Amino acid sequence: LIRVVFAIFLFLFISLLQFLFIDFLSIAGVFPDLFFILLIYLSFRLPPIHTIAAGFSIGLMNDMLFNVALIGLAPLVKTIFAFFLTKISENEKVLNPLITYAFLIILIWMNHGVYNWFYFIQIADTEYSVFLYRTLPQTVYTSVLLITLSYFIPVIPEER
Amino acid sequence: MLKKLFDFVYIKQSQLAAIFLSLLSLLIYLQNEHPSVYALQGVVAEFLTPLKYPILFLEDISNTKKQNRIMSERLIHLSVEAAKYSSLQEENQRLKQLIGFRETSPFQLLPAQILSRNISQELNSILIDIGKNQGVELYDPVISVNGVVGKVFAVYDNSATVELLTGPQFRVSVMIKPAEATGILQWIGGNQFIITDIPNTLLIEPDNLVVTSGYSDIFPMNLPVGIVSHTEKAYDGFTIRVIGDLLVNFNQINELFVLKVRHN
Repeated sequence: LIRVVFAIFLFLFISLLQFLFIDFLSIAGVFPDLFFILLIYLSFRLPPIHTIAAGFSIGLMNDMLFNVALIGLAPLVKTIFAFFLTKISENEKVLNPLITYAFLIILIWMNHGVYNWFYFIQIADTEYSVFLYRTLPQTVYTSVLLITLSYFIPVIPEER
Repeated sequence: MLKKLFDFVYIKQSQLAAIFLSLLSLLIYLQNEHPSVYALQGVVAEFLTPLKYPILFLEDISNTKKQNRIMSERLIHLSVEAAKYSSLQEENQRLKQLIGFRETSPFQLLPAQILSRNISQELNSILIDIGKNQGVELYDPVISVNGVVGKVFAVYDNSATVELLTGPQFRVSVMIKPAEATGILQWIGGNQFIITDIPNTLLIEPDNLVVTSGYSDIFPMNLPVGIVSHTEKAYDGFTIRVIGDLLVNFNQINELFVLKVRHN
């Protein structure tokens, strides 16, 4: 219960951080996905069903704060990737930490990629530029932030 | 039987939860324009709006000096333009009277500040700090000093959501000057737009100005939108595709104006 309450508190804190200071987080117009980083941390600390529920809630908050015109897209993407995160979390003990991180970065890339693909689906001639100018920089920024954060707060807790 | 079902649900709970919540998300995504979804957005917007004011205040202070310098430069340019415009307007009014034209509606501008943006590199919506109480209505055009920014998508008591021109679903009817070719403008990523189905008999050149055509119920005519950068032949051989750059830099917009069009 304490972990769930702490997760809710952290969720509200990150939402507020991303809402209030979004302009300060931008590097050349690229923003990190703090919500997905939070979801990665939660997936290694909460039971799978709670992680999936967190993915949905985080996605819904993401859309209500930043993307009201396409509300429902982020919950869909984040619920699906929360499920994949639970699979990585379940198999973390048999995986090499480097491979775990590699999988996490692939999931960050897929999260941005799928979201951008849905988002830009109605625009012609942009598949290549969406990947090059949006998905790739967002993936790099979010991954670097995750790796930097994991130096201070390990993604995989020592006691599970 | 019931026990088997219960066991199945218990064992597969995470898969079932993922499927259920994905379907729920899909349902919300497909019900985007449902009143209850709007109501939920309104509640969140109204709750969060006051939290942003201290940040806006600090941003305002740091931006004032920079903006003051830019505005002074712009004022000098505009004074020169205004002198030219004044004589042209007099001539225009005289000619309009001669051919019996009715005067177009003047505008009222409601200044607004941005409360939140999308986290995507490209923005499709923003929250502004004025709403119903300040006179904002649904589908009011939103502009910046450089040109068209978007339209009001949802209105709450003291805030409103603006759908931006850089949204994948956004289209605006435009006219390319001086050829007066009309078409539908669509954003294609970055700061670029495309206008398709322009007859190849019309002479469109780089640096031609793109303005709103006034054919839609939302945008009045002659609001600047972009500049033509180049044209391409379309596959059909009879039309061209006009590619250009938007005048507004959507990564740097701070102050906006909601345009109240006074209809005659």
